[in-house]
Amino acid sequence: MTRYVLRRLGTSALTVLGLVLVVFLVTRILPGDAAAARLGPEATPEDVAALRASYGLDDPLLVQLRDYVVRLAQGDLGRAVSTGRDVGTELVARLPATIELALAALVVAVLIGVPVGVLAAAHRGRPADVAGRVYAVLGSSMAPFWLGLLLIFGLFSTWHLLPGPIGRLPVGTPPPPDVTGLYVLDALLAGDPATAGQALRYLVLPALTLGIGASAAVVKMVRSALIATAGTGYVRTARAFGVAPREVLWRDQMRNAMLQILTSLGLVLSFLLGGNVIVEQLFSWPGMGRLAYDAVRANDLEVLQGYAIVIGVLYIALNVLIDLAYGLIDPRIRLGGARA
Amino acid sequence: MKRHLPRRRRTSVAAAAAVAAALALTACGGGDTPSDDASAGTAGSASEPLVISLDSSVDLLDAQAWRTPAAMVATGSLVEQLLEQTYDTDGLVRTGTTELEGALAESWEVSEDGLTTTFHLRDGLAFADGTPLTAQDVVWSYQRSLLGPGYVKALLPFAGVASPDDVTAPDDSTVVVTSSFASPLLAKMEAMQPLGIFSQATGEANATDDDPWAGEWFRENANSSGPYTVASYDPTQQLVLEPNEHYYAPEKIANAGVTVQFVSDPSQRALLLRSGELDLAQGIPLDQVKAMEDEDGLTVVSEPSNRLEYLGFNTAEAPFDDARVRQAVAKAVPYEDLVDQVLYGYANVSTGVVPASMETHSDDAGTFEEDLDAAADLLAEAGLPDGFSSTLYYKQSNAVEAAAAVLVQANLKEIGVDIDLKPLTDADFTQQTNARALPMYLNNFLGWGADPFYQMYYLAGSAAGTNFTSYANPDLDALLQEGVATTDEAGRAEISAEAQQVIYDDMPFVPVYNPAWTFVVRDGVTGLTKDNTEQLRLQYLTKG
Repeated sequence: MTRYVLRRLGTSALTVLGLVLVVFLVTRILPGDAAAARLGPEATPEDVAALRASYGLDDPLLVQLRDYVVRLAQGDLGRAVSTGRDVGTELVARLPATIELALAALVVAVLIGVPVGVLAAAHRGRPADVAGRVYAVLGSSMAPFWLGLLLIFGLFSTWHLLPGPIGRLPVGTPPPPDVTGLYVLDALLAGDPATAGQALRYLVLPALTLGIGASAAVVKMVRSALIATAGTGYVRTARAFGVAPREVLWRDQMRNAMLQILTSLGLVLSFLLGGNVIVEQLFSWPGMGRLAYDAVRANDLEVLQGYAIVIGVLYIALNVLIDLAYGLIDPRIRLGGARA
Repeated sequence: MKRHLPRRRRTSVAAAAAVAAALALTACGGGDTPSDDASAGTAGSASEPLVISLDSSVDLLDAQAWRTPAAMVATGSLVEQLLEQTYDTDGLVRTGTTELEGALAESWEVSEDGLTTTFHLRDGLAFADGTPLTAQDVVWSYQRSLLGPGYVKALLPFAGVASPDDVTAPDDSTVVVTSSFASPLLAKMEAMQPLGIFSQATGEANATDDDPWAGEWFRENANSSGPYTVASYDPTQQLVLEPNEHYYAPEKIANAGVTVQFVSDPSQRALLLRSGELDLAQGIPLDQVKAMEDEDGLTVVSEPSNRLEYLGFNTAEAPFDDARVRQAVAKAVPYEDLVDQVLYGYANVSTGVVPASMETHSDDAGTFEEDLDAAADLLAEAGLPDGFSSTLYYKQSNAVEAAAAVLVQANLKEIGVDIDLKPLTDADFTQQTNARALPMYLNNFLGWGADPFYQMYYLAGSAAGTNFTSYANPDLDALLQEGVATTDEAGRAEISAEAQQVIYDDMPFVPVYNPAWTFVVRDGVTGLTKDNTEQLRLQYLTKG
């Protein structure tokens, strides 16, 4: 097991290195000069040159890459060219908002996706299945931006059921004492159910917007995982022994499909972490995605690089965790054991 | 220019005034310095705190180094200047006049030659942390504006104060500013918020070798000399401002605080205003502003503005190196249609490089009217009877410019000019205009202090960083320099008219329209204050 973990971490490190290289090159290809933008039109060419030099933007590409990797290895993500702030600090400060939103969206995706997927699989080829598949197609093809607008229009603007897109808490409500950075959790830890309730209410609309899109993927995946188990010997045997289909579905099929479902949920979560730039923008949600959106507008390569790397590393880390979780969930898999 | 004050508003304003008066009677016994300004209304008995959302977020707190328009408004309330403009009140809006009064300075004298200004500071001035504010702080702040991290470096030199040694403090309450030429612009600048006063002690305590002017510290913090202090600041979410108890004139703070909420999506900002979560909003899409005029509970406030939207050329390259081609394009711009269809009436058709609402505007330079026949004739004269093709650039983030570009493109097609439209990211646009790399572009400009010579110099002066047209005319430069240094009104008007004529004839850019200064507020919100740089002064806002 230890050997497996080490090997897995080793390959992840290589992946991270590849990620850094790609991010570095892609951001260099983008047009525009944040230094000139930061200094404004009255800046002299000397001012711009000095700022560019201070960011190393004039060095040869390979030198820039080397410096960048060295700095990254020291945990330094650089300074935002547009504001002068430390990118690492900025991203870390916004990470909890993004994680809270992604987790809430995952809950939405599971709460909708799993039952619909199970229903569709249990009634394969019948109206329930067709409805489930139609939902999956609609859900995955609807742009989150559009869905968000519809939800805001209905649930906030028309029926006033939920608060508007103004961030994580009502204006004037102080955030709960910082423990995890997840407001709902922190407020509960601080024994403040009122604030927790508020934070939850503000979380619902953006989480629905992100989660409904993701639930489509969950439906497809749960359905196909269950259907794949339907043709296996143990299901046929159980059925032959007269076990009720429902019991077979939940006890045998579901348990065996769990592995695949869990893997996919991990992927969905990493998608949710990185895929919420537009949703954060729409809901004024103060997460990393919003920082990235502003960075694109300001042509701030330092922030964009930092964002891409943090998201990429989170993605890779999630995948490692999922791999490791396999062994715990499925006793058939013994990680790092003797090779066949 | 119209201002929209539907009838039901009067009752709500009256009600607000009544509430304010009642509050003043009951809540406030200690109005020992009664405001001389009736429209501050709730003087001494601040109205409720307000929640507002401007057209951008507040990127940092340094009044000399901000980047976003909202940051200029917000940081301006964290510093106080030596002088302050007086205001005329008309309905809900107070507008800055060219008359100035003392702020931190109790009085000031200008020497006979106009080159030396001596300011006498008030007694007992203090920063928000309670430390005294002295003449040394003024010197340090002015020097910081010249040498520090900000981009207001060009401001004082334009009025003849270029060296850090030009500002001195003979004693703790006296500041002497020396300029190389006499200019009425200097006093206007001394009333501008980027020349508000920073604490030298705080700056020095937070300075480093790399950062002698404490740019880092002032980016996230303030030791305010202005009406507010910072209660909390999260650059992605909100800035909470609280009244500064050490402010020199507490009666000039009409509310109990202002929260600037950063709502990134303009349409969402409109929804939040409608639902009452915001008291005031800026930057709402104009079609929605139009609809809001008829909605209960909301008031649209729209005032004429000096902001100038213009169609710039690169005059160094063909075909725009020929003034006749530039004139032809100017005659092909659909001015009225742009104002009606793109700006929903929230703009004025351009009246020239010096707008009609700015002093010394001249009507004689020439008009801006669509005349496609004349445009075609001019093109033929310039040897381009079959037209030409070019590309018109604009900022992706600016939906109004994107729509305007389409109308301009359609009209130019009528005279045989084929235009491609190309949006750029803000940063890319800035870089390309700075490099003078764009043949045609839509851009806008707001001159500080509503000064005609500042306006013309920064748009058409050959050395101006914001003149992106490559236009360089030594005669015009000399004329503008003379204008800046002329103090008598008749002389200024004459020079200004002559310069406006030169710019009209050469047409290095086409002034297209002046977008209005537009806000939407909840009924009961009053005290919207537009200073000479068209900034909203937060301290005068009240909420009934």
